Amino acid sequence: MEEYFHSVKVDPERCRGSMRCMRVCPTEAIRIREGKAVILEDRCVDCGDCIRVCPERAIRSVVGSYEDISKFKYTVAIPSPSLYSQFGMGVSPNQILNGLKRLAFDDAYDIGRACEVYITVLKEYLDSYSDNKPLISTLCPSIVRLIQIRFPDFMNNLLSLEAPRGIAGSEIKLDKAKELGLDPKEIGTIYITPCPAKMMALNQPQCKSESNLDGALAISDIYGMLFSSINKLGSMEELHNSTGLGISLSIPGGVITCINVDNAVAIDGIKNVMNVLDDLEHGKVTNIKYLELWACPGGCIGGPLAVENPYITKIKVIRLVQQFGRERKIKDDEVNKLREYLSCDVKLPPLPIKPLGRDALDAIKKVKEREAIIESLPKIDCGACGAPTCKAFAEDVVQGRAEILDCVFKLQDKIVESSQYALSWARRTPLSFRKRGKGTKIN
Amino acid sequence: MTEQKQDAPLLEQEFTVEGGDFIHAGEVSSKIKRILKDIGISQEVIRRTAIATYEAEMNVVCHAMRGKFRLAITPDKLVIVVQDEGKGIEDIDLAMQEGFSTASEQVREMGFGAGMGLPNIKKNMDDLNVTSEVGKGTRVEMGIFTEQ
Repeated sequence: MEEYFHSVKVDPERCRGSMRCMRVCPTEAIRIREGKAVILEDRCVDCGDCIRVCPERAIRSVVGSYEDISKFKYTVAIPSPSLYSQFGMGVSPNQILNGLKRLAFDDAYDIGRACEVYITVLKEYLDSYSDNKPLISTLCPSIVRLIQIRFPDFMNNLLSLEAPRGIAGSEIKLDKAKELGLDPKEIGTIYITPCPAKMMALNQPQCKSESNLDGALAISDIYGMLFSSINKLGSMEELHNSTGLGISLSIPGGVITCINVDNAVAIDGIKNVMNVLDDLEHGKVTNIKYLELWACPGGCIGGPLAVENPYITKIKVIRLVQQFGRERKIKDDEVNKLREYLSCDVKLPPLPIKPLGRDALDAIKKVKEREAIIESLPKIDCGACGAPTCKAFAEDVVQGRAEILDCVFKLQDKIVESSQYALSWARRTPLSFRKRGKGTKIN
Repeated sequence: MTEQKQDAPLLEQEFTVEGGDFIHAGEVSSKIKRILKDIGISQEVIRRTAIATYEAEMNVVCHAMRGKFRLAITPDKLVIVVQDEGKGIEDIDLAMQEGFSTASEQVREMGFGAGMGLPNIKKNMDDLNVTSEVGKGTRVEMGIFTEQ
């Protein structure tokens, strides 16, 4: 397996090097090289902020394609809870599931059921959690990756529970397969995702050593087809059989209102999350028991592959939750039956950004060099060098990813310096040539 | 080849903190933390240093007019010296006690001034030396061994 799998990719054909992606990237993972955006794999957390701002639509999330579905004997669509709020107020979750099923699937799974199991087990988990640092939600894979690379000190505080999408995958692969008399491999489980991060998580599972999800389709990619499929629905099956609890997980604070725990906080937007984790590292924030963290502003409904405006969509989420209630429908014996699907068998490794040097001495030398370079730069973060800030550029220089003359101001200084040098030679013309005609005098 | 003095720092960096600037409070601790991560100091030492420098930074923000932080990295140790210009500490022993604080009501309302600053630094660092001159300022020197 690759060390880093990324779903966010740059299409060099389309990219014109506009720098917008580089400027918004919260982890400074993008550089512009020869007019094209390049992603630094050890820093990218697949949040997809770059996807939103690219004017050429050159940054895309590599999710599955529609054709993947035909590889399996039986395919099941598992929509993210955020899909339920992507259509008008009058469109019910059941209509969406039926519309989805008719697209090309043999079945559409109501993820609300898996969410109910998840919340039930999470409550128990929290009751027995006693670390003085908060337990950190792992529903958002970008947050998990952010902690792996930037805040490895909190690795032990990551909630070790399979997310509802994984629970759904396991239930379908194992239980449904038995029911249908199929090999689990013959059943395809396709997640309908609002973000690239879920695709990354599917290829580098966070909980189970093997993912029970086979692929993902972007909400934005199937939206048009799904829309017309819903419009053409005649008679429907009962596919939606859960309460609003699952739907509430698609907005920040959704989990917290369900688990009803004191001293829990929800934070959305990756930069806000980084600020809070920074404060936590300083010991500034204490007495928080649970942290619900989302990379996207607005939570999953704000995902870069979701279609509707997240602030408007939130109204629909709230109405759906009111309509279906927040009680859980799933029975205790069913929870117990699914319990094993929630336990994790992999422990994620920290993936900290490597120190600047081979060893401490070399790193110290490079830190010194970097600080000296920063001092010599204009510190206006113009970006022309292809790095998002002067500081990031200085680091690129000491790490050999860039040269100092890639800074246009440094280049200008160099040109001034070398032209003065050239001028000094120009003045040294032979004595016999010294007196020239008007207009050729060199100052 | 010149022989390097045993205790000569391999790296020295200076940072300034403005008293009363709660908006930017914590930035110096973040910068120090970043440098330590870049050098590859162990997580545990970074964690403890981050907490201690943050407390020291908040002490300057809450109690002094301004302060200078000097980070020195020697082959086996990190030393951070904070020199502030401020009212100073009358009774250092008392200030080292948990829960003792002279912070103003305004500062306490913001959630600071719980009297845990110096005790918390002491708890996290391997050594701590506080000297102060009333009316002039306080000097806090704290050190931590890089190999724990």
